[in-house]
Amino acid sequence: MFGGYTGKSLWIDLTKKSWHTEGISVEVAKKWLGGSGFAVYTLSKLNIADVDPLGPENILGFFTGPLTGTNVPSSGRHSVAGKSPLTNIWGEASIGGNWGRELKYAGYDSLVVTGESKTPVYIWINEDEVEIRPADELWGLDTYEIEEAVRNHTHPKAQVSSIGISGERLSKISGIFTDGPEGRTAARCGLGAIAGAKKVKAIAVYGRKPLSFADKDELNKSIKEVVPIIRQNLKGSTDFGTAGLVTPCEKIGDFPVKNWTEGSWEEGALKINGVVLKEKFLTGRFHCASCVIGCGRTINITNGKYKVHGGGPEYETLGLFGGSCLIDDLEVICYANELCNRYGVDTIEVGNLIAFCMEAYEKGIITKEDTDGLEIKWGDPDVLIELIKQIGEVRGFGAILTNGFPEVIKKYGEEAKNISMVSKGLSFPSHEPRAFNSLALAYATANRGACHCESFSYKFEGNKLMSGLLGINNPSDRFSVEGKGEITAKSQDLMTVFDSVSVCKFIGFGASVTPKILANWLTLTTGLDWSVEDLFKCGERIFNAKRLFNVKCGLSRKDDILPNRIISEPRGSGGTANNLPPLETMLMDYYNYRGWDNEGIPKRERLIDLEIW
Amino acid sequence: MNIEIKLFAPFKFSDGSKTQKMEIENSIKMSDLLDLLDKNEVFYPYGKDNLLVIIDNKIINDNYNLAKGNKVEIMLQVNGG
Repeated sequence: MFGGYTGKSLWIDLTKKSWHTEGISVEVAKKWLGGSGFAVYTLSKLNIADVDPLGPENILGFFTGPLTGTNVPSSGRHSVAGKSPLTNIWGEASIGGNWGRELKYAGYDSLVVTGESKTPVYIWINEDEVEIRPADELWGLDTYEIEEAVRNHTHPKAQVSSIGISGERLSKISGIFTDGPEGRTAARCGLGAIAGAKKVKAIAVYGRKPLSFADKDELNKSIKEVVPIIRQNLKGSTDFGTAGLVTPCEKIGDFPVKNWTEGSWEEGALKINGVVLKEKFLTGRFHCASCVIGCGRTINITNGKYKVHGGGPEYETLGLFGGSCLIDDLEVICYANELCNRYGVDTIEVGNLIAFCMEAYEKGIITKEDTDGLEIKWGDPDVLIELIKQIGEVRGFGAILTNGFPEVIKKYGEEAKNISMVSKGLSFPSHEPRAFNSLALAYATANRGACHCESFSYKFEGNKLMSGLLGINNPSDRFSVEGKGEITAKSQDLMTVFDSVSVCKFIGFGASVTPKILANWLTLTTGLDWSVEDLFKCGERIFNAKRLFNVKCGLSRKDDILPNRIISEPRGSGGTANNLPPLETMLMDYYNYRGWDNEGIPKRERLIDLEIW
Repeated sequence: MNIEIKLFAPFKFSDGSKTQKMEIENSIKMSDLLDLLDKNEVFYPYGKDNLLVIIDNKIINDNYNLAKGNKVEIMLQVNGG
């Protein structure tokens, strides 16, 4: 067997209550790499683009990469995928923590769950022993409680992946959670609802099988040289977490304010940033498997109304609960974050939905009648907390919100659509597309919907060092138009590689781990020859394969759009006061670069070249 | 010529202040200013390679020629997502 991979995929059929393993060939590994690549290979092979996302034909897959479980820095990641119940297209979320590594140590590169159970179950994978066990006693537990509860019945060191009550109740904005109170999550795309529909409450895994390596000594030598560079470049993340992004992002106009209507919020941002979080509430840091950065925040709030002990809020949560809802009370945001984690819902969707409600109520699009008497005002912490509870528990007005923007827009019509910040049904993360033209293009073309992680294009844009990694030597300014097709496409291809190899993208920032280093680590681990060109072609192949999946779901150019607010309403103040991204122009440039036709469909010649025709 | 420098946490000047006026030579580049501040350990332990510099809401690079009256805002550029 080649190194890094176990060579086995575990398939569990809940309908038949059976399981089996399938082999993974060298050809598949070389073509699809792993992680995100294995996800699209599997979903495409099963041909499930037209299934009901909550039906038994959909799958819930967990895919590690060849570096997952190794000592490559920050390699403790895996992809979770299925057809999204929220958007009805490609659904995928990348997650850190320790679960992916444990699956590898149990002997599997991936786990694919098919069918559905008639009663609540949990899955227990203990290397070669696999059981589907009743979960009646676990149903109703939150994602913090479930870890200990499952370990009591399995192994004290088992890693547990679970859903909260929101997933049990089929909330289309529920996610898959691991690591208990430290709350690592595959939050986006409503994947928790797939698990809920299959009645899978949790998946516990334990293993201690060693991985093989092609040349471990050389790999260790290379890692030793690179780790100090990662640590120096990412020291800000180590000390302040992603919360450290709040003030710099606000200053350059990248931070959402008042449902994406205003341009600046300096005083508010200064009250909820990473420095304040560290000074007031931080008691420790936590790391994903093999991580040398440790951006996870452990916080403790013992006094007052909002007690918290566990994982602290990430930048995304601070942006949307803070800036977008105008709440500058960090204790409230920490508490709201914990509630969302316990319920098992995506804070990005929740934050955008509540900011939407605040604007919609102000404009009379929703009224007290819709909200059962709850008066929804900007910046009201009680409203934030109450709506999170209703969304998480799938009750009252929250029962509508919990199905995400597609359902909200369906119910409240065009006026609601005009103030909903989504693309392809997925709502915006806390990065402003008017702040970086490439990001606007990236949001419109990302395979799962509005997503910055699929490209991180803005990290490359205007940055000579980073764009040099893409072979672009004269990177254009963030507000210019030229060359955005190329930089967006190439950054998407490279980020797809990171998701397929399954390492954290943070180690790529500051050019700490370059594509050349990554190719070298892959070769030294697997024994398969990987060049930088191979990696980029593989990334492009995987990205296009996901696009093809979406085309089969009915997607085309008409869906590569952004809300009117983004393309025609300037922010008016701050670091991005006047910029409006010219999406149509950039889209044509992008399609051209990608080798897609005017409808955004990959052309035959490109697919043949990528070996996916 | 006179400029004003505003530091954002975690940075501060050696006297604990966050804002200071500074008299500098004409035709000095941003890279020179950052070198000077770095020598005074203003950016310790992060170094001057992980900074975001803003003047009038615009992102400023090392080659920028400082001008009289510039209000230079400097903060830690955290690499994350």
